[in-house]
Amino acid sequence: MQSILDNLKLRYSRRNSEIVKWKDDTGGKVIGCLPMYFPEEFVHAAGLLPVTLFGGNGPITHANRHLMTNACGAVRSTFEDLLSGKYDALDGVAAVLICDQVRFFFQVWSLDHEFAFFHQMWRPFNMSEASRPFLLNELKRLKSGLEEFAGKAITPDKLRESIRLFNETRSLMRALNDIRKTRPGLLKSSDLAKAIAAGMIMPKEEYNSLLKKLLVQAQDLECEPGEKPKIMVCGHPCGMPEEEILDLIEEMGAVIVGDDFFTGSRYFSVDVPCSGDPVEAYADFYLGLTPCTTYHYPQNWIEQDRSLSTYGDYVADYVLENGIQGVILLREMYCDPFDLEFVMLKKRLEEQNIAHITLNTGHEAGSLETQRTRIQGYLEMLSL
Amino acid sequence: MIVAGVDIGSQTSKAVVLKEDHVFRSALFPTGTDLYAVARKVVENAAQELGHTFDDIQRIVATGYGRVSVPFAADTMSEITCNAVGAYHFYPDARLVVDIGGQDSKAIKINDEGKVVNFAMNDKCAAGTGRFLEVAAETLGVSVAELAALSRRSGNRIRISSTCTVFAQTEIVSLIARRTPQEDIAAGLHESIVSRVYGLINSIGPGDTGRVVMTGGVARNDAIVSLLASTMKREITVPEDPQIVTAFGAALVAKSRLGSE
Amino acid sequence: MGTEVKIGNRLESQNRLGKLIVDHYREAREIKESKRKPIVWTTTAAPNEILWAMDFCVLFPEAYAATCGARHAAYRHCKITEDKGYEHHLCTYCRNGLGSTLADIEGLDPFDPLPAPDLLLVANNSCSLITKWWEHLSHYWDVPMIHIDTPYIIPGIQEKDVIGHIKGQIGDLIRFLEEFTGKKFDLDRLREVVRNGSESAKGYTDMIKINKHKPSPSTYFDLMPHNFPNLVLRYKPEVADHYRLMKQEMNERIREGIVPFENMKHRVYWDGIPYWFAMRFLSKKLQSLGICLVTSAYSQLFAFDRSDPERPLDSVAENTAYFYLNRDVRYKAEYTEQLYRDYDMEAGIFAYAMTCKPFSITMHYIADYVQKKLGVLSTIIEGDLVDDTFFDEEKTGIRLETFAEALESNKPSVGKVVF
Repeated sequence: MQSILDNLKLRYSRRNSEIVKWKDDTGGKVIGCLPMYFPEEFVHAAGLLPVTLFGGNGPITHANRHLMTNACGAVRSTFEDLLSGKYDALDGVAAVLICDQVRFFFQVWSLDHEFAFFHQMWRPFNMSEASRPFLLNELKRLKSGLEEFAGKAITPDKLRESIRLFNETRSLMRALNDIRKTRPGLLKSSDLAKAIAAGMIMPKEEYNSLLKKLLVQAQDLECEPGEKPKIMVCGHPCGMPEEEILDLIEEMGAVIVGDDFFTGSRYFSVDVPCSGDPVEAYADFYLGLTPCTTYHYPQNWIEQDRSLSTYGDYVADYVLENGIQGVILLREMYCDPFDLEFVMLKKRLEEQNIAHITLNTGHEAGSLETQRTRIQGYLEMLSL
Repeated sequence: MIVAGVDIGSQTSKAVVLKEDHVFRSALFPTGTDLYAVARKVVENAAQELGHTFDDIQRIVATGYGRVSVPFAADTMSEITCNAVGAYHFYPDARLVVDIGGQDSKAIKINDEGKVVNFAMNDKCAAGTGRFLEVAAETLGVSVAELAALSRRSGNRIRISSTCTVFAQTEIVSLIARRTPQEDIAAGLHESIVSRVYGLINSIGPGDTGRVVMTGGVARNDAIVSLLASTMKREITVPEDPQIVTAFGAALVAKSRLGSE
Repeated sequence: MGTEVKIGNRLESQNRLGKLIVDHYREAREIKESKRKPIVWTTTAAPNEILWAMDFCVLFPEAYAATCGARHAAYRHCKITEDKGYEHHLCTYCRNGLGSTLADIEGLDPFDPLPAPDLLLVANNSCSLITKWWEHLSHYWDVPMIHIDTPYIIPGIQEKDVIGHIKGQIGDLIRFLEEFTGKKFDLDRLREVVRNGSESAKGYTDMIKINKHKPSPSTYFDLMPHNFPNLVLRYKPEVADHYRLMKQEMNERIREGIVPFENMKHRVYWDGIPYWFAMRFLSKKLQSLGICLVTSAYSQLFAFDRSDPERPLDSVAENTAYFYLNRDVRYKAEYTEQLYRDYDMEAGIFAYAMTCKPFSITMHYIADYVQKKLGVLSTIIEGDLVDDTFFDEEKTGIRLETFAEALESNKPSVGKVVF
């Protein structure tokens, strides 16, 4: 299991050169997709390789010429990668305009840099049936844009086939996640996040077969069930969570049994329906995704006895259903949707007496030592 | 039984050596750069005060940011837990502990069993810590104690808008240039730190019953304590030696661990 | 500039504007007392004509935030939210609005609070953060909120789909309001509201353009507060008169050779939301440097120039869709370039607002763009909408002085933004 895991981690760490290699090997074309929620299946169905763009951890220099420091780490570091030539091998880039930063800034990518394919997609903020017609239009607009670029039609059958393949990926990822959940200690959370992220940059065909092998090997591995406190980690919606923080939590004796990372549950929890018209199915999928701080759920705001936060409900329910002792919230600096939702989420957790702690993370965040103290103090609070 | 708690803070290191009937002595040194040496020295000193040697100590618990650099400690424990244990020992009716140290500040909520139920630590920078006052005092060319005295004489507290220590320094310079009275600047600085700490307290929901205890070096600054008390509309208790409460808590943890073995 | 320079007194229109504003808030408080109309809080470019047509009292928390900023009360409201766990770097319009709400609910004496809402309406065409802001208002006031999803005008998007999407939601809104008020929606009344709005919009746009004249009869900061009537009161027929009279007053100034201040040397563009708490400082500083701010794309936010009584519903949807902030960055850059040409401006001050992403995140790009296209000088200053904790007078002063020195030396820089 370890050697496959190491391979996946390596692929993730070499994600930019992997693109070049894949292109050399296959002669295919690659579309970079900015997190989150890009309909990768459409890209795949057009015979192109969708890869998710994760920024690097390095210092941000070029991007500061165009962006003030009040943009989040994900936006600044991906832009930095673009300006420093790391995305030169991409044939196109695309994004769903999930938040104000991506919405207002992403287009700047195309204004100074020529991309053969450049696409911005609007996913309605209003998660209700009223949004369906427009959402369908946007999916169709993406489809025809890709068809034109790839020079081939995305037939319903092709799209359905891609959806099946991606559903398989998601289900394998869920199985991998189950290992962490049911056999704590076998799989570090930081490794899991990278293994998931590897699936977002590799061809799914190859990734699925690697993951299947890994899961078979993992079957026979045992682990010692301990009396460790069970933790859910959430927040940090777009990028790769900080490895050091996840490791600290586990080293200090807690078990992470759930997360809502983009490189975690958020990516693989829900499948796209395989029946019926695949574009319609994709709209269904969007309207039924895991609750997110970047969207508005109108029914909550009109009816009586309203919930504080759809996202908060989701976190609280997850905690209660899985016998979790506490929640660690990772807060990415300058993520406005999460920062606002945070206030209601906190209220919701307090209502339910769910112990929680907040760690500010991300680019240029506080020192690891203070994080260590916080985590240790928190785990002592849970277990003493 | 002889046990010890050692608290290696960013600026000062504290140790408490404890024996039966809660008889204890403490010691305090600037932390410096050699964490191991200072940890050893501060524990030795406290032990000597009590008429013992380092080797007499049966168990040591280390806390503070340098806790991992104390190889002779049997356990490490976060300063959050130790602070709560220490404060609860002195004041069993304490329900909120506010600790303002050199580089960080904390608000800790505890229940009637002395257990931590919630806490928060300052993040990102030194605003709302002892360091902020030191930098400000330095900029004004006075000592921290003089700064507190100045602030009490202010008739017109001005608002320091910068939340970052470094920017606040620039702001002070421009206030001086505009001939703002030192007293008013000093009062504004105290107000600024208190408002940061108050925000921290609010973030954990301070509750409205039980004793509020303030610990850490800044608890000696009565200008801060009284301003915080009036902001919170609560009385604040400051222990006789507010700086050693965390080390004392660590010693108590050492004692209970020794007992359970 | 002529040899004989006359300096203008305060515009009579400023007094008239003051009265319009005072009357508006007085009426709102009276309505709260008498409960004769439901009160709704809304956003700048939501389909507000529908609310007026349904006879709501319509209030704008964003305009209220600007007032609190100008009256140095916003930071106090913002502080309240920080104590409740809202991050310091979140939009300060939002934090001001939530802070005053919390203060009002908890009896903490907010600054001139807006009368409490019975309903909330929000469109995300300015930003998506505002939807969350409204969600929190809805929680604290415990009143329903309606959200109008406004797709960004992405280049290549089918604009008829965007309009259709908004129109569909306006239909849902009308059905909701009929139920909420128990009254029937009246299309003729809407037509009337839109007609008044279109007259007001024409007057507003005409008035703003007067500053094209050289020398400008007023500074941009004098004109800017006059977006209030077209934003808040355009459903009333008398608003068009305000702009007509104002234009007359400015034309008189032009005829008599009156300028706003002595020693006006440079015609300069202003980009971004004004720093409301620093208007006096900025005005004095800029005047002392001989810099006359002429216009800003910010004015375009309050144009509502699609209003057409012949197509009431469609034009309301279009005003919502084509709101300036909902346009893509290339559009904004080109629009700004055109303003430089139309108003013959030699340089630009770009006012970065640390907590406002829609205005600020592409500001560098736009400043670069006009500089490259026109060879003009640009400077970026840092501050915020209403919270002065993000603003440093000394630093800004030095920057503006350096900028003025560069203008004096009359050497347009090449390439990159100079500061």
